[in-house]
Amino acid sequence: MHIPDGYLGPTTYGGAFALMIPIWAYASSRVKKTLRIRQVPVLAMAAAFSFLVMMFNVPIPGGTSGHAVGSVLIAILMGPWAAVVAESLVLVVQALVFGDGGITAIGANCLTMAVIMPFAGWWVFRALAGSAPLGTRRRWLAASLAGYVGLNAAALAAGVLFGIQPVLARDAAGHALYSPFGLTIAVPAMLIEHLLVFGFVEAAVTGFAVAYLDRTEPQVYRSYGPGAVASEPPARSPLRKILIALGVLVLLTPLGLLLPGWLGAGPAWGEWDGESVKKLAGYVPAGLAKLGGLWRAPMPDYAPPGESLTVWGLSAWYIVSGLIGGVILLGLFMVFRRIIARRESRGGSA
Amino acid sequence: MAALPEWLMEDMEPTGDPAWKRASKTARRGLGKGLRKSIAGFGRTLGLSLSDRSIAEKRGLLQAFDPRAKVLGIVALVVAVSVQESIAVLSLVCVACLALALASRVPAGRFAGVMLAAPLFSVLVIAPAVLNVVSGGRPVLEIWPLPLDALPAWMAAGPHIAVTDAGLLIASRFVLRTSACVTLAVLLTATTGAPKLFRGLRAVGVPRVFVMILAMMERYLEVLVRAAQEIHMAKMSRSVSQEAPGRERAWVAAGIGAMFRRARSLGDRVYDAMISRGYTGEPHTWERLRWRPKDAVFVVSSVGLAALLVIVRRGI
Repeated sequence: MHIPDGYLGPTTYGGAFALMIPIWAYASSRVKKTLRIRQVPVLAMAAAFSFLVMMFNVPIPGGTSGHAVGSVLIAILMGPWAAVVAESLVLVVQALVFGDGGITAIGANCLTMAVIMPFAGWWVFRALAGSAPLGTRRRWLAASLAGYVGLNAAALAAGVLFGIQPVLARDAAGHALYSPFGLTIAVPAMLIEHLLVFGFVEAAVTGFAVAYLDRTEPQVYRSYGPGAVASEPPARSPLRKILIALGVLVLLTPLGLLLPGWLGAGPAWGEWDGESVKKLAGYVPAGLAKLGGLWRAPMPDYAPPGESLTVWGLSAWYIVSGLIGGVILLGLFMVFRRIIARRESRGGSA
Repeated sequence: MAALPEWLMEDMEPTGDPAWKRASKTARRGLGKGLRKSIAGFGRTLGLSLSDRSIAEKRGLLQAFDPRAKVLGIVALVVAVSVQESIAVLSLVCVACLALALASRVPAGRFAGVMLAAPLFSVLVIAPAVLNVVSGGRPVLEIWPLPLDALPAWMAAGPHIAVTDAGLLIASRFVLRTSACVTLAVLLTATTGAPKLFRGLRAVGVPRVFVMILAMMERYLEVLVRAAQEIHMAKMSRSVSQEAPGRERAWVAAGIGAMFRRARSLGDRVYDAMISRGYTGEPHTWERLRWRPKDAVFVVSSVGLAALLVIVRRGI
């Protein structure tokens, strides 16, 4: 996932640096408050550990192996802001000393692997693990899922950074100057391998390592002050933050309608209807024609069927659809959480 | 890497553990692929950092400059190359990097490895972009349907795929730009050495405390890599056959957990040592970098060249 030099244009890598500078400043002030004068040795060792995590190769079904990134694990063990600093330092060393990732892409790599990944994983972990006691299956499951979600969030962000390059930078003849693959190719290409393979590696490493440390080194969670898991007051549940983030995302959903129009993009890769397939391939495969009409969705294309709407009307329906989808998913999440909690309490009382 | 304190020093060959070298090929094959790759990776990391130190200590052109001047100059050049559109200019930059490497006595093998590996990886990534379905343009080589007279009907159907002139232009520009950036980065790293390089980062505004953390991380990484190597060697010496992947995954995660304990305990010991020497939270360094006229000349000429590259980014 390390983006090398030359893959991103100056507007993207410059923008990533501009985003990262205040994040680095805030992260270092947060960590300084938490660790005080211990910050130098503790962060140095955390960064060295993070570097090392990437060197442990994990066997993957099919005979090959892969490695985890580890920033979700550090976020769980030391808090997300410490993970931002430690992982950023690792990415700087990897770019400068080992040539892994580009110098101009340091900001973009830090944004995906040192910010998006640990925070996405940390929020999932906090939401699922709640105040479950150390060593419980719920914490192991929560850490595994946090690793999986964190890595895929980072892969999605990297895919988006690659995918916007053909729109942002073209030469006089209109040819792409940097990564030439649009969103419809770059996002699936980045996500497929992470959803199917590397996400599970990250999940296994994060889950098993948290389970191991819960069992053998419980004091770890009390070592690093307010940034650490056990010292966070249980009242500060991340559910409110998740709801706010979801609300913002729901309000932004019309961008999915407006941006493709502005950027002249076609339908998402692989999400073609019969008509689009005919345009691309020149014919509609018989199986697609037969199965295409099998299911009639109650709200096709996120709007009531049969109505012709303006862009604003359609945008409003996008927001309504986002709300409906969000409520359904949150409901499923709460049910899932309750089932795990009930199993845990049964396991504890047995 | 900076010299480690004696209590952390151990005899170990830079390219890997001697026990690993002594192990028979059969014993190595009996291990899981992940385990083998990890052990090889640890050895490579130690070997690479040690070989970098030896290049940085040679008397060469780039070694003569202050690290801050090199960081400023080479980062300016990398930025200029990243906006470059002309294939001719990018090729010239690659040739200039080769000349700089020779003048700086960077071993030909190391440099050739980078010069070959970077384009090879980029070629793999960019390969689909040479096709009309990604980049458009005028076809120069038909791929599908196959350019044969008698084709079965199913082969003649399907989308038209061809290598195009626009695709080749995009791909070659991409590969050359990536190679030029990587070789510039390698020149900076190889001729500076990690500890000086980190101090050079002060020139681009990295706070002193971050530089100190980076230097300490790089210094103790060697200790942790050796510890990880030991964990793997212990596992290897007790394995007679490959374990089930599930068990091996659990073992890897436990190893990572054990490494976290080790890193934490090492951090505590280093902190105690710092406190005993009077550390109060404010970083101080003894070694002062000296800024000389030739460093200013290097910065001015590199930034000037970078500006020129930006001006002629669409071709000479």
